[in-house]
Formats: sequence, structure tokens, C-alpha cells
Amino acid sequence: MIRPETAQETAFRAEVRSWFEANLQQHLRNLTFRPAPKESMAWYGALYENGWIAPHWPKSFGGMGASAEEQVILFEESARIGAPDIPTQGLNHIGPLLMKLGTPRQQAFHLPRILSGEGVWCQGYSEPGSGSDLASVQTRGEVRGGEIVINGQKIWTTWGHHANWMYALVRAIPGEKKKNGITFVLLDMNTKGITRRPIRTIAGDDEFCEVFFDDVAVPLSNVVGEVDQGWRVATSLLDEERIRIGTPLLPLRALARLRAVMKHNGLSNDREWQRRLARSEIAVETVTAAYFQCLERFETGNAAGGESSYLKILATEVTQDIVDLVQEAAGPLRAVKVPSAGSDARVDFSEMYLQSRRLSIYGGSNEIQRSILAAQVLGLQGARR
Amino acid sequence: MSGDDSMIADSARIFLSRIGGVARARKLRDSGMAFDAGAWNEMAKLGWFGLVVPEEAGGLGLGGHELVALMEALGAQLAGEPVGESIAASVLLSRAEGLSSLLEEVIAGSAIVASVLDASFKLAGGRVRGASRPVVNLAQATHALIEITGENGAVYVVPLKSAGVELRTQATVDGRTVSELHLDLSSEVLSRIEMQNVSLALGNVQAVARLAAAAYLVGLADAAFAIALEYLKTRKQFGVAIGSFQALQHRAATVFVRIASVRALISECARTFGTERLDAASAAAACAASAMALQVTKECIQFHGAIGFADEHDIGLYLRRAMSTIASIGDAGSCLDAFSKAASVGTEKISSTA
Ligand SMILES: Cc1cc2nc3c(=O)[nH]c(=O)nc-3n(C[C@H](O)[C@H](O)[C@H](O)COP(=O)(O)OP(=O)(O)OC[C@H]3O[C@@H](n4cnc5c(N)ncnc54)[C@H](O)[C@@H]3O)c2cc1C
Repeated sequence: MIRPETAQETAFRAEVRSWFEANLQQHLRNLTFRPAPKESMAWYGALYENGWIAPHWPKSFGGMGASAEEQVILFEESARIGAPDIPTQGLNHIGPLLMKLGTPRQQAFHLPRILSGEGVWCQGYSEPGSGSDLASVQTRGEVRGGEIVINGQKIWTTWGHHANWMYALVRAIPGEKKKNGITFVLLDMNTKGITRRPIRTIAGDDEFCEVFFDDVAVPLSNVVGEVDQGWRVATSLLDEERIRIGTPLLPLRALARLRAVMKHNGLSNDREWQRRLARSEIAVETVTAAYFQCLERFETGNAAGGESSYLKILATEVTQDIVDLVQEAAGPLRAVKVPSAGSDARVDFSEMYLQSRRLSIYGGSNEIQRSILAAQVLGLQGARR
Repeated sequence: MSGDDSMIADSARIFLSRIGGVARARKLRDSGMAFDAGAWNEMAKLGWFGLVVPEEAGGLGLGGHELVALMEALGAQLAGEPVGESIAASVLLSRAEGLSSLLEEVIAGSAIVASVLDASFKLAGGRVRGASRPVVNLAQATHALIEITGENGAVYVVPLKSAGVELRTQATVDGRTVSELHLDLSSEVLSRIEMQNVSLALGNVQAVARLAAAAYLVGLADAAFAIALEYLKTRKQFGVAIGSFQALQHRAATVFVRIASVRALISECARTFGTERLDAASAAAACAASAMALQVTKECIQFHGAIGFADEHDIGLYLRRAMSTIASIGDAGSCLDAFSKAASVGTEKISSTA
């Protein structure tokens, strides 16, 4: 970060750096894909034990209550050492949502389990027929006595085949497309009637899956908000999700890759490539600056509509631009599938490039985010093609 | 913005619109008059040229955020005077010994000191010879800060009215000028600047100039976009406002993201004012703002169609002013090199460049 560090922050950075060095095993560094659950959750558990699993959660809910600067320091140091992806649906999406809109019982049950890693979550929003047009979800959720009985299908469910909890959007009356007929439910993935099928991505990993529901019965106490009133809950979560996609973490990771590939291919001292690297570093600083400002606006109650869309577009597109350069720097190796063990680190030529295509699709595509900005921030009305 | 910076921004906005706003930039260009002495004197009365000079040296004693606020306001109304340049020079003058009277003149607006650092001036046999690269707004300056390299290397002030000083001046597309400084004169005309670590101070002059220009470009881009946004809402084709076309909405959203994020970056850079990080930060600001301003002002012309291509419409003034402003801080390559150098050799490294 460009922002000058306080002595305390510098000390925190040093602490993070040396703790990462001491605790992150070599074979888990510089991976592009999320490691398999066992290893991913082991790293998750180590961060939890150290009190760093939830920097952005307030202390009152067991989080670290980190300042914006401390959060950025953690991102920078994670990217520097090449820390692996951990599942974030609990930490970044449903956790903060439950803090805002969950019942005390839901909070007391789920939040500690998210922190410890006992509860691994997935997001059941998208369906084969409902992507950008999320309000059109058709998965049925009928209230029968004290239960909601769910039938239908979700798709593109990240880590759905590993998760033990899902938050999902269902509706009581099928065929409707109304926003106020949607219910937001929490469901235990071990409930009878759930079938899951992993889906392979273009990058080669099994990151997401399909989930089928056949008379899956969920207690009504698992509804967040009111039955039929889940749309507001759903969109509040999307805001949270996009802010977390919009942190400097992804761009910083891409930057670390660019340096690694430049070094591997002998470009580190090439002036033209140094300039490209500098341009990328500045772009990443721009994301960090925007992230700081957004958090400050949220904290002071000055957040405008569209803040999360702005951050999401910025961070994902800066990342994709940098990964384009990684490809260019890879040259004839650009299509190599399996990363090579570089002189001192794993060098990924193609995985992140392919993987990063998802950034402008998920969390609400960047086209949808632009439409949100145009309507909510710029006051441009009526979308015509 | 919080306190002093929003006060500065408000008073600058009001003052600049009172003296003619963007129409003034057009008028100055059309009349071939590069310098508006009346406006300059009023700016001096507002204390702008001493903005970051300590109060005990006669300035306002303000910092980076106020500088950014002022420069954004100037950019928004396309005020072309060398305000950023003057403020940058004041940073060095206020630290040098024996230059307090020149500093006073700078603050009062009666002297304008240009920093001519991209040059190769040599001192031999009692004479100074050499030439600079083209410098924007140099024709308005009364003095130049130059660096003499090689033997007797030092930083000097050259009064530009002296014999042996030649400016080779060309007009720019926006009514400013750009001039090469050619020197062939006795070294006695020069005053040598006495100060500790003069090269650091020179770096600082350049850094402040870069931060100022970057902020100017953000103000300029933002103002251009405000005009374009209004046009998107009022111009009708196919029976509807063109801003209802999704193709344009998305491009407008991109412009918004570009301006907002670079503005955020510059606000971070303002925090480094007076620290070692300013060098790297200001180079980053200049790079980011230059690329952003060109993209935005070109896009704003596109949003207007043919009228945007017509000189009579103001929207085209913003692109052209962006061009000369970028010329004043060096090309993208040199800013990127400056960033790499400052970010990696500074004792306080910026973490993303690790
Ligand atoms: C890696 C990955 C992980 C994901 N994880 C999850 C998950 O865990 N849970 C979950 O519920 N979902 C998940 N998704 C799904 C994601 O939310 C959707 O892909 C996304 O909302 C887009 O929907 P879609 O894929 O159906 O595309 P569509 O909506 O069919 O869009 C196709 C194209 O049309 C464009 N488009 C659509 N409508 C408009 C419009 N009005 N104006 C302009 N352009 C438009 C889109 O931008 C896109 O380019 C994931 C997706 C990916 C790629």
C-alpha cells in the first residue's frame, strides 16, 4: 500500500510475514486452485487458531476486528507468500449476512462454526434457467407445517460437493417471477434428498457442482428473514460478496504471478517488462486505494449505491489485465498445463489465466454491475440495446 | 475531503467560475494570449502559490490534501496557469538558503519559477551552455531552476530575462506553450542554491509537480464526464435519450470506475506528502492519471458524436488540455521508470512492489 504505515502496522506486517513463513508448508504455496478440503481446511484451522481467520469480522462475533490497513497488510502478505485459497462462502458471505439479518439462534449456532471451519458453506442461488436474472429462481420451497420442503436444482455451486451447509433461494409458488415470493433458507447438506455432481472448469479443477433437491425438508427456523421476503436478504448478501471479491487480494496474487513468470523467463531486467510490471503495480495500488475509500465510506455511513459494483469491476478487471500480461510473459510456455517448479517457486503459466475468466462472470457479471452503476449512480435510465 | 481541503476547493471553484470558468480557457486560446496576468495576481492574493510553504516562511502551511483539492478545482475549469509548477518550485525555495526574497516574489505572484530538470547544462570556462527538452508553460516563467551536471554540479536559479537565454517556443493544441530553454551565458548571472541534499530536494520538486498535475487531470476528467453525462441524458435519438442505450451505459460506467479509482489513488498519494514515499506515490499518480484522463476525455468526445468533434463544443477542450498537462510531467515511460526506481530504492518500500 502507498498509505504510510504506522510503526504498529509495520510490526504487524513483520509478525504476519514471519508467521506465514513458519506455518505455511511449501507445497501449499503459489497454488492457483483451492487445495483439496483436507489441506485447505488445515490452513483454515491454523489461521483460526492464530486469530486471523476473519480479519473483517467484528470482535463481538469472534472476528479479528482488523482495521482496513491491517486487512490490506494481510492481503499483501498472503499474496507475497502465495497463501492458498480457502473457502470463503462462510467468512465473506453468509457470516456477515447472519450478523446483520440472522436470528440470535442462527448467529449463535453458525458463526462460531464458520470461524472454526466446522461449518463449510456453499451458495445455492444460480439455477440452469436463472443466472443474471436471479429473481427468476424456480427451486420450490413449500411450507408444510414447521418445515420447508425443497424440490429443484441449483448449479455452479462453488465447493457444493465439499460443503456441509448451504444458503439457498427457493420460492413457494413455482412459475412466478416475483421478487417477493422468494425465501432465503439455510440447509444442512446432509439432509436426506440432496444429490451433488461436481462440474469441471475450463481451468481443470472441480471447483463447482450441481445440486439436486428431492423433497428436502428444512425446519422453518432455518429461514433468514421472513418466508417469501428473501429477496432483500439475497441482495444484501450479494453486496457483501462483491466487496470481498473487490479487495486487493486477487490483483495482488496476479501481480505475484507476473513477477514469477518474468523471473522464470528472464524478463525481470527487461525495461519494457519492468514498465509493464510498474503499470500493474500502480493498478493494484489503485484497487487498494479504492478499497480503503469504500470501507471508510461504509464505516462513516457515506456509502453510495453501487459501491460494491464499483469495487467488483475494478478489482476483477485489474486482475484480468495483469493475468493477460502473465500470459504474454509466458511466451511459448503460455499453454503449458502443469506449472513448472521454477528455480525457487512454482510457476503457473496458464492456470490463473484460465481461472480468472470467472471473475467477470460470478458475483453478478460485470455487465450486470455496469448496468447497476449506470442506473444507481449515473442516473442513466431504461436499458435499451 | 474534510476541512481545509474542502474550503480550498470551494473557494477555488467559486473564484475560477467568477473569472470565466472554462470559457476563459477558450478565450485565452483564441486570443493567442497564453497568460492572464489579472487572474494570476488574484490567485496570488488567495495564497495559492504559498499553499505548502510553511507559515513562518510566508505561506499557508498546508499539505498534500489541500494541494490535490486545489489542483482538481483548477483542472475542472481548465485553468491553464502554471500553479502546480509554482507550488512545486516553492518547495525547494522554502528550504534553500538565501532565496527568501525570490520565494516571497513567488508567493506574491511577481516571480514564476519553472523547474527545467530534463536538460543537459554544462558549466565550463565560466560559461553555462546547453539545452532543455520542451517544457510546458516555460514561456510564462521569470526564472528557471536548472541542474548543472558534471564538474561544479549544482542547482542554480537562472533569471530568464538575462542575455544568453533563448526560449524556442511552440504553441500547444490548447493555447498553452511549450519551450526549449537554450543557455549560453556567463555563470555569474546564475545564483547557486545552497542547501543540504539538493538532489533530494529536486526530486521533491518533480514529485510535487507530478502529484499536482495528476490531481489536475482528475478534476479535468471528472468535469468532462459531468458534461458528457448530462448530454447522455438529454440528447435524443430513435426517440429516446442516448443514455438509455446499454452500450453507452456500460461505457459510462467504465468511465466512472476509472475516474473514481484514480481519484482514490491520488488521495492515498496525498497522504505521503512530506514523506519519503512521495516520490513513488507521485509517479504512480501521474501514470495512472495520465492514462485515465486520455481514456476518459476521448470517450467523452465519442459520447457526443460529431458535435464532440467540433471545436465550438467545450468537450474537446478537455482532451487537448489533458495532452499538454501530460506533456508537463513527462511521458508514460519516464513516469513508470520513476515509479520503479522510487518504489524499489526508497528506504520505505511500498509493499506491493516487494
Ligand atoms: C466459478 C464460478 C463460481 C460460481 N459459484 C456460484 C455459487 O457458488 N453459487 C451460485 O449460486 N452461483 C455461482 N456461480 C454462478 C454465477 O453467479 C452466474 O454465473 C452469474 O450470475 C451469471 O449467470 P449465468 O452464468 O447464468 O449467465 P447469464 O445470465 O446467462 O449471462 C450470459 C451473458 O449475458 C450477459 N447478460 C445477461 N443479462 C444481461 C443484461 N441484462 N445486460 C447485459 N448483459 C447481460 C452476462 O453478463 C453474460 O455475459 C458461479 C459462477 C462461476 C463462473
